[in-house]
Amino acid sequence: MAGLIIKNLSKTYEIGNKKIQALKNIDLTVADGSFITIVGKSGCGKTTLLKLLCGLEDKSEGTIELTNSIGSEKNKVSIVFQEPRLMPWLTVEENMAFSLISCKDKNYVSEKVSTYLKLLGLYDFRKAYPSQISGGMAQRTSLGRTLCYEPQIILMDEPLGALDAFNRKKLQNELINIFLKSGKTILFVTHDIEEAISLGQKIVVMDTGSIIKEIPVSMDYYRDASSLEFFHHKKQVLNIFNKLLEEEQNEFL
Amino acid sequence: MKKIKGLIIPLVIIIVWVIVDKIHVFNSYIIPSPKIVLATAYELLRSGALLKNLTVSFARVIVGFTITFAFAFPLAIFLGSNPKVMPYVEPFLEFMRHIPPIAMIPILILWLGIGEASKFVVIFLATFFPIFSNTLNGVTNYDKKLLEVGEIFHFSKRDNFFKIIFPQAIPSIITGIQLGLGYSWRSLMGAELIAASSGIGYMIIDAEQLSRPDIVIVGILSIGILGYFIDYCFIKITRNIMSSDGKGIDYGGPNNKKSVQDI
Repeated sequence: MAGLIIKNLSKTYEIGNKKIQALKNIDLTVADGSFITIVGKSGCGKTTLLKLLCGLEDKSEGTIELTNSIGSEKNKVSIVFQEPRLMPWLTVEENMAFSLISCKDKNYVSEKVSTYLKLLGLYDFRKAYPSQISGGMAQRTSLGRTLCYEPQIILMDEPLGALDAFNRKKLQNELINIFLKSGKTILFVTHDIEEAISLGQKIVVMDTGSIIKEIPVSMDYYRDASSLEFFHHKKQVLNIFNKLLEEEQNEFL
Repeated sequence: MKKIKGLIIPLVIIIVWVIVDKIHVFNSYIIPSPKIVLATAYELLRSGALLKNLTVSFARVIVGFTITFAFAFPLAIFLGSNPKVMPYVEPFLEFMRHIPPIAMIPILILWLGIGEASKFVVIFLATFFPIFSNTLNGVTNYDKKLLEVGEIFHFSKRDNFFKIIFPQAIPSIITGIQLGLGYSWRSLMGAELIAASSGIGYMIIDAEQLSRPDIVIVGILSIGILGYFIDYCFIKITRNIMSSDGKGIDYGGPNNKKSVQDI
C-alpha cells in the first residue's frame, strides 16, 4: 500500500477580486496502511484537502508525495464522496463496475464486483436501481465502486454524514472490516468527533485551513464508546473545539 | 380509466356538434353536420383519396424529419462538446430561430419551386430548433458532480461523454424528437396549404376553393388523428427501448423534461 507526505500545501481561491485561502501550509505524514480521520467545523478546508489529494483541484503551493506506491499511476488515490453520486440509469452492480469501465478483462470485473457486493451486503440488491435502494445502501454501493477500483489510498469525504445512527454504526463497522482485511490507507473526513475516534488511528484536527493538532489513537478495533480511553480522546478533541469557540467569541466581542 | 377520461372532451365536442346541427344554429356551409362529414370521410377513404394524400404528407414528414435529425443532432453534440465554437454560431442560430418557417415559403417557392425540396426545407426550418436546442440542453446541462466521478476513475474524454453525459441527456433528446415530430407535421401542413399539388394540406385548400367544408373538416381530423398516432407510437417505442422502470427517468410522455438532475 501507499502513504502520503504532504509538505507546505496551500490552496487559494480567487473569487472576483478577492483571494480566499482555503488551506494554509499543511504538513501531514500519512503512514502506509493507516486510518486517519480529519475533523473540523464546516468550511475549515477538510474537503479542499481531499480534492487536492485526489487531483480534482490543483494546489497553489506545496508538495504531495506518495510513498511506497506500486502499480499503475492511475489507481493510487480515489475518493468516496459525501453523496453517493451513483448513475441513476445503472443498477447497483453496474454502478460498482463503473470504476472499471476501461478494464477489458470482463471476468476480473465481474469477480471484483461480486466480491464487494457480498462484502458490503448488497448481493441481493445487485439488480436494483439507485432510486430503489436506501441511502445506506447507496453509500455502500458508492464505497463498493471505489473498492472495485482497488486504489492504494482511499479518501472519504463525510460519506456517512447523511445516514441515521443505526446505519452509520453498521457502515463504520463494515469500514473497519474492510480496512483490517485490505490494509488500505484511508483518510476519512468527518465532523462527528465520536466517529473520528471510533475509526481513526490518528485524528487530525483542522481549523481555518490549517492543521492545529494531531492526536494518535492507540485503542484496538472495535472501540467501545463507553470506555475511559475513548472518553479521554473525546475530551482531548472537545477541549480543542472549546478553545477555538472561546477564541471566536472573544474576537466577536 | 385514464383513456376513458381522455375521451370525455372529444365526446362533449361531438355531442355539442350534433345538438348545434339539430337546432340549426349555423348554416351547414359554416359547420356541416356530423352525418355529412362522416359520409364524406367514408367516401374519401373508399376512393383512396384520403389515404393517398395522407401517405404523401406522411412520407414528406418522415423524410424531412430524418434529414433534419441527421443534421441537428450531431451539430448539437458537436457544439455541446466544443463550447468554444458556440459564440461563432449562436447569433446566427438565434436569428434563424425567430423566423417562422411559413415566412420563408414565398422565397423558397422562388428558389426551389413548389416541388418536394421546398417542403423539406420548411420541415427542416421548423424541426431543427426543437431537436437542436433540446439535444444541446441535454448535453450541456448535466450533473457536474457525476462528471467528477469519471475524473476520479480517470475516464477518457470519450467515456466521460458516452457513459456520463449522454445518458443524462437522453430524456431531453427524446423530448426534442417528440416536439420535432409535431413541428414537422405542423409546418408541412402550412407549406402544403400554400404551395403543393398533393398531400393532406393540398386536399384541405383544394376543398376550401371548391366550397367543401366537409372535406376540410375530414382533412383537419385526419391530421390530428395521424399526429396523435405518431406520438403514441413514438412514446411506446421509446419506453420499450429505454425500459425506464426504476431508473427514475421518465422517457416520453408529457413530463419527460424531468432530468436526472431533478431526481
